[in-house]
Formats: sequence, structure tokens, C-alpha cells
Amino acid sequence: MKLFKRLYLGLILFFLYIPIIVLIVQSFNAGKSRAKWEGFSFRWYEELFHDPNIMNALVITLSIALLAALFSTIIGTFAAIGIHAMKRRPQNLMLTLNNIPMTMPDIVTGISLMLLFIFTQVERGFVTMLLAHITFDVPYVILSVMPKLKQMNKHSYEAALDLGATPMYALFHVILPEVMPGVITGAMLAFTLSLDDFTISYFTTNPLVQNLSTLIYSQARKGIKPTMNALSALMFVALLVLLLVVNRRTKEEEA
Amino acid sequence: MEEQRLISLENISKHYDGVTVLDNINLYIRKKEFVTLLGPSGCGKTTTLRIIGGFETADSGRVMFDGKDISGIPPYKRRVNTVFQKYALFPHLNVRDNIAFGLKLKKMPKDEIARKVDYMLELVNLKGYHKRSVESLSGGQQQRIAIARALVNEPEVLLLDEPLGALDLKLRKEMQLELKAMQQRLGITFLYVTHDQEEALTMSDTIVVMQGGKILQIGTPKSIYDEPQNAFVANFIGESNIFPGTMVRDELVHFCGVDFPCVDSGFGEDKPVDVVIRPEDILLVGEDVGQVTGVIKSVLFKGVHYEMMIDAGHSIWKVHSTTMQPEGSRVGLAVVPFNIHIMHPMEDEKPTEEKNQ
Amino acid sequence: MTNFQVPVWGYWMMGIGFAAFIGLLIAYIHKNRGFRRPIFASPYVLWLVIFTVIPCFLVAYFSFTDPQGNFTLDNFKSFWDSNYNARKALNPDDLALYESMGLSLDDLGLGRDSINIDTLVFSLWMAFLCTVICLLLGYPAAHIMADREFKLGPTLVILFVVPMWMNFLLRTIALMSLLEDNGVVNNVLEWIGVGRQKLLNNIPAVQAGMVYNFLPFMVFPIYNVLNKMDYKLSEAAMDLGCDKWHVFYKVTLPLSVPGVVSGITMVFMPAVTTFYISRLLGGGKVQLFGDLIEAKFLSTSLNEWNVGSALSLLMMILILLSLGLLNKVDPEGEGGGMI
Repeated sequence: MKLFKRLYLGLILFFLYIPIIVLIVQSFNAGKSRAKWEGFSFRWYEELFHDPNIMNALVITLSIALLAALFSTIIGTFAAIGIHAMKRRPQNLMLTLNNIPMTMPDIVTGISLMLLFIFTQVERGFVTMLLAHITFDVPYVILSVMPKLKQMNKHSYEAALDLGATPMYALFHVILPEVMPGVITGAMLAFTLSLDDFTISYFTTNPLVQNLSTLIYSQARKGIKPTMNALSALMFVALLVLLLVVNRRTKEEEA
Repeated sequence: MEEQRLISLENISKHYDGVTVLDNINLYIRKKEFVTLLGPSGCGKTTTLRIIGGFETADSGRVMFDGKDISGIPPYKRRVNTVFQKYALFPHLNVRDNIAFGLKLKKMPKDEIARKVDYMLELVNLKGYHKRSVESLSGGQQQRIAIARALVNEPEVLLLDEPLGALDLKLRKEMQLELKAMQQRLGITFLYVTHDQEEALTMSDTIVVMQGGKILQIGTPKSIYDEPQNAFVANFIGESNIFPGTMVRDELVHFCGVDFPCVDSGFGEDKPVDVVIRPEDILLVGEDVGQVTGVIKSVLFKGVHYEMMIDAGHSIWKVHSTTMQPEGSRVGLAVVPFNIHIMHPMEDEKPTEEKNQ
Repeated sequence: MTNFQVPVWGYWMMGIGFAAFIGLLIAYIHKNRGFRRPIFASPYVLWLVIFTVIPCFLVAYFSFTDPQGNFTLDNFKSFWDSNYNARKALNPDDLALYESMGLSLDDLGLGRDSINIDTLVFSLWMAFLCTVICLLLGYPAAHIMADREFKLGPTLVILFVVPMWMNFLLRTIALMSLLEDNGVVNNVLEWIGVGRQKLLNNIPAVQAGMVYNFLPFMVFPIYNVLNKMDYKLSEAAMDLGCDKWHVFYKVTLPLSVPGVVSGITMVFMPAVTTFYISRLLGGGKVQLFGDLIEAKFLSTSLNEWNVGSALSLLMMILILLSLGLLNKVDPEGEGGGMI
């Protein structure tokens, strides 16, 4: 029975991970064919770094992720502090609104934002993609900062005011230092999500401004090239590392 | 005494979502006085404190400080400081930076800050704790730091919101004495909030008993204990026997089926009243000489005295006595007129409370 | 795209909205006699209104208008009217003529598009199948991992959590390359003598892709609930005379309902709305509701956007209904918590 249980779990995990593992292995295959193993090589990785399209997409992806993480962390942290201090009813309203971008399917979020940009005649491109990324990042930042605020002694802020601090001073010298771990987690989460996003980017950019995900998608529709394997493998590893770090941080904070 | 009023609350009312938390509070606090707001949780005592501290604004009424209306002044511009429930020390700062927080904001020179912090640490018996992280301190030590952090700013009034609530009994008793001594030494006005009647009796110059957003009685500990104005105060402060009765005429009250002589007058004739008798004021006498007779139902040893419940037919009497009578024996009970306290009956609160129980 | 005009009232709305926001902000600061903390949320409030609330209303607005901005319910008609497009393509006078001659559009060899409601029903069916498969595969897995005697459980569950956050597109591509004509699976099949099979571009491939992508979303909520469950409950049940099987369906199963419901929602919703899984693994031969919406928006014809908006609106309503249901069953969000 015990063996059977382990076997079962093993099979499911095998199903979940074998495509990724195979993909990573193939990215080191020297030959072009997927059918034969022609020896270990970094050939596709080299080609990857000499492909101007991919390099361009990489720069766009990273800069969008960095900027989106930066702005969403600032907006989200202040928003969390504000929402935390609200009375119950507006607080519930805000938390519900905050949930919309997280619960809506990506395709609906993407399309509604696309309609917004069409309606306001903003040309879709880098800026619109950045705005869209900030929009879906902020809720996660708020969700990371909120628990820290709840853990805080609810009188800390008042104690600072009581000792003569202005609200601004109290915010920067008392509240922010106390919630900093949550802010950092939130920023990392925002960065990862932004790096990871495909659907929303797909609808809020134009074909000339591609991030890695949309580039992979447009190329994969024509069939998978070995460089795509290499690129996917790299992204997998990067995301995996980021996720594990974020995961560990959250665990530590809970402890 | 008028000119010594430091803080006065004038017709303060406060509502939360339709619930009345404070109902027309009027109160003044003199300089160097130790005033305690006492009452069960939800009576409005903490809200009163927070209005004085500036963390809440009253819906109506004024807060006067030294003759000036401070109702609209934010907390950081008020000359009061607060010791918070659970201390609210800043966990990212060490002991010294916690205490120096307010002084740094006042742009005080560094050496003066250092001197004051040293002095405060000495005052609260935590010399040499400068560099310690506040989270490494015990509850009692954190408590002292919280007091030091507030006092170092030399406030005109120190507000304390159940500061000893999180400490164990022994430590609490020590801190009560220490706080009282500190207050007398520094000559600062203390406004103290607690639900612990013993704490209030031990430390205060003046006790303000609150319930349901109203002030029930203001007075010295002794006057509140000896002359409670209604059954709630009598019940909340110390233990008491409360009997419904009728004022036959001045200085004669009828309850438990017997007429008792008393010292109160001015209640009118044949008017319903509440009668309060403290358990330690009831004398156990021979069956033949007692004003009331009863059977001892139970005896509990309480350390300094025995607590006996005596069934006198239609009423149960709680009696504290240093001598014990065996269970089941018949005894006589007597009360000297001076120890019978007559109060106007509580119209609303009392019956509803009984229903809840 | 370029000939689209913002209606004049659109500019007015934007201007008035922004002015109202500034006004409210000032009024709020004034009312509180200074700066209060909730004011820090105001930039985000503005952001939410512009980038979340207004877009939702825009979807509704586009659903009920034609490209000229006039109110119409036409966009929903294509939903069940299979001749909608054909009829639209024809000159109305000609159409009247044909009809007077007693000819239907079918007779003319026009019309008979696959109607959108068919696609929706097919999508719902695929999502339903995917949910059932995920539940059947995932529940036992979650149950095994949540077993207190299974020490590896908490470690293994991380392996289920990580893919939840990992790019679906990448994982779909990984699966795609695995199933390709000369992919690893086919190599294995040939090696064991079954011979090469056509594994991609069919419905089972899409179904497999969906299960592969969404299985972790089923396992994790169920694991969460089972793990938090007091193990003493099952001990108590055994003490009262239940055998292992009875313990499971009298105690464990009923108590895990919130996790199951949460899992079902978390699998079903993305499964209904996916478009790239079907595009990549179905090779354009399998069309889901998400593909339909995507196609409408990639089209250059303006009318199609309005139809696409109508479809998105339907999807939003569908999602909100299932979320409402989830809130009823699992109000505490016990099954949730993704990290």
C-alpha cells in the first residue's frame, strides 16, 4: 500500500515534470533533430545570445519587469498602508476591487486593458505593456504587505505621533521599517509575475514590442526551434530560482 | 481648586456606527493628580483616553488643556504622552533609540539626549540596557521602557492605557507601587485606565467609574468604596450585598422583611431604594440578638477571612469574618446604622444586567 | 484601429472624473483637518478606477454598441444565429429578395458558421472533463501527501506549488515539444514497437495540455485543507468504531469540501478561458472559447471587436457567478493561499 502510494505520487510528479526536463535536456543537444541525441553542446545557447530579436525581447522583458516591480511596489505599499488604516466598509470595498485583477482570467484582463488603450487612442507598445503589468502586480504587493501591517502592534503608528512625529515621519521611520520584509517579498513577487506573464502582455503590446513570452508564442506557432528550447530552459531556471526564493521568504516571515 | 484644572472634557460624545460609546462626558483633571478611569471593557474609558491623546476626535464637545481648546490639534502637537496597551515599542529600534525617539524629533543636542536617556533608564531600573533589542526584553522590562519612552518627553500629562494588563499578578503589584512612587517624585499628572478595581483603589487620587459611556461616580478611592452611589458601583468596587428595599422615612429603611435604622435621609417616604452592605460590615451575633437570623449554607476559607453565605429566608447574605461558624448552624446578623448605604435604584441598567446573567 | 474615434463625451468623462478625484482628495484632507493614513491609498484608488473599473465598463460598452457607437444587441446575436455573418455580408435588399423567393441561406451555400454557442458548450465540456480528470488524479495525490505518516509530504507539495506560478506558455511548449511527431514520446513508442502516432493537433492533446497545466491548482487547495484538518478527528472516528474507509467518507471527505470546491474553481476557470493551450497543442484545429475571443480581437474588422467584447462579457459573468458560488462554500478562503 505504502509503495503503491509512493508510486502514484511519483507518476503524477513525473507527468508534471518530464516535459520540462526533456526540454532542458534537448536544449543541450548538439543536433537540430529532436529524434537523436547528437552530443552535449551549448550551441543553441550561443545562437540564442546572437539572435537580435531574442536579445531585444530580453531587454524589454527585464526592463518591464524591473519598472513594473518598482512602480507597483511603491503604489502597492502605500495603498496597503492606506487600506489598512481604513474603516471596515471602505476597506472591504478596496480589498474586493483589489481582488478583481487577481480573480479575472488573464484573457479578460488583457482584453479589457486593450479596449481601454484603444478607446483612449493610446498606441499599444512598451508603455501600455508596462501599465498593464503594474496593474496586475499591485494586488500581489498589497497582499504581501498587508499581513505585515496586521502583525504590527496597532498602536505603533499612534505611539510615534504621540512622541511628536508627524504622520509622514511616522510613516517612513516607523511603519515602513517594520513592514520592509513584506515590501521586499512583494517586489520580488511582482518582478517574477511580470517576467512570467504572457496573456496580458500579448493583448497590450504591438507586434514590434515583444517580450520573451510573446516572442516564444509567435515563434512556437510556426514550430519549435532549438533556440526556443534553450530560451525556455533558461526562463524555467530563472523563474524556478526566483519562486523558490520568494517562497522561502514567505515561509520565514510566517515563522 | 478651579485654577488648577489642567484638562477638562466638556460634553464629550462619541458614536461608532450608531453605537454610543461616550454619552456627554464631563470631567476635569487637576495638576499632579493621579486619576483613574475605571470600568468594565466597553465602558468608554479607553476612548476617553484616546480623545485626550488626540487619536480620536469626539463627535461633539470640547477638550480643554490649560484653558485652551485642543480638540483639533493632532497628537504630535499635544503636550501629553501615552503608554500604550502592549507597549507599542518600535521593534526595529533598540532600547536607547526607542526612548530617544521623541527627543530626536525635538532636535535636542546629542549629549543632552544621551543624558536624559541615561536618567530615564536609571529611573526605571534598567541601567545599561541601551543597546538591547526591545524584542529580547521581558514583558515587565518592555513595560518600563514604554514608560521611560513617554516620560522622557516630560509631558504635562501621562496617559496610561491598561499598562499593566499583560503582566502577571506579582509583577503587576510591584509596578503599581513603582508607578505611584514615580508619579509622586516627578509631579506629573497621570491619567490611568484600568478595569481592575484593586489597581484603581491602590494607586489613584481620584477614581472615575464609567459604564456604558457614562460617568457613574467620581471620587476618592475611599469615598467610592464607602459611599457607592448606585448598585453598579457597589458591585464593581469590592464585594457587596445589595438588597432592594423601601425607605420608610428618614433614617429608617425596610428590607429583608425587617426595619433597619440607618444614617441616610432625604430619600422621601415609602420610596424604593437599593441597600448596600459590605460583607465585612456584617456582624455575626447570637441568634437571639440578631436583626436577622439565618442558616450558614457554605463556608470558604479566603486567607485573611472566611466567606460565609447565609440563607436568611428570602435573602442570601455574603459575610466576611475572621471567625468561623460551622456550616448548618443558625446565626444572628447585625449591621450598625453607619454601615448601611442607601442608594437610588438603578432604573435601566440593573434589571437588564440581571436578565443577561 | 486608427479610424476609431473617442466620443466627445469620452473626453468629458475623463476630465470630470479626474477633477472629481482631486476634489474628493481635497475634501477628504479638509474634513479630517489634515493628513490621515487612508489617503495613501488614493493613488491606487485612481489606478484601480482607470485600469480595472473603467476597462470592465468598456467591455460592457463595446458589447452593446456597433462600431459607430450606437446601441445594439447584434453582438450577442452571432452567439446563436449561425447565419449571422452570411446575412451580414449580403446586401439587405438582396436578402429580402432571396427570402421572397423562398430560398434560405443554406440553399445558397452561404452561412452555417460554427456558431459561438457551440464553441462555448465545447469549451465548457472540455473544462468540465479537465476538472473531473484533475479531481480524480489530484485528490488521491493530495490525500497521500497530507498523510501525517508520510514524512516527505510537505517537501513534495512544493513541487506541486512551483508549477502553479510558472509560465503556462512555457510549460505548454515543453509538452508540445514532447508530443511532436519526432518528439521523445514518439521515439519511445517506436522503440517499444507501437509505432509513431499523431499525438498533436487533436482534442486529446489539448485535453492533456489542460490537465498538465491545471492539475497543481487542484492538488494544492485540497492538500491545504486536508493538512490543516485536525488528525485527532480521524482518530476520534476510529475510536468510535469507523474503519479506515468509513473514516474517509464520513469524516475526511466532508471536511475537505472547501478545498475541493476551491480546486474545482481554480481549474475550471482558467480551463474555460485558455486560448494558447488549444492553439499550440490543437494546431488551430481545436477551437475553444478563448480562441474565439482572441480571434475576434486580432481581426482588423471593427465589428468583430464588439462581438469579442460581448463574448468577454459573457465570460466575465460566468466567472463572477462561479466565484460567487465559491464564496458561498468556502467563505474563509481556506482552500486558497497560493504560496
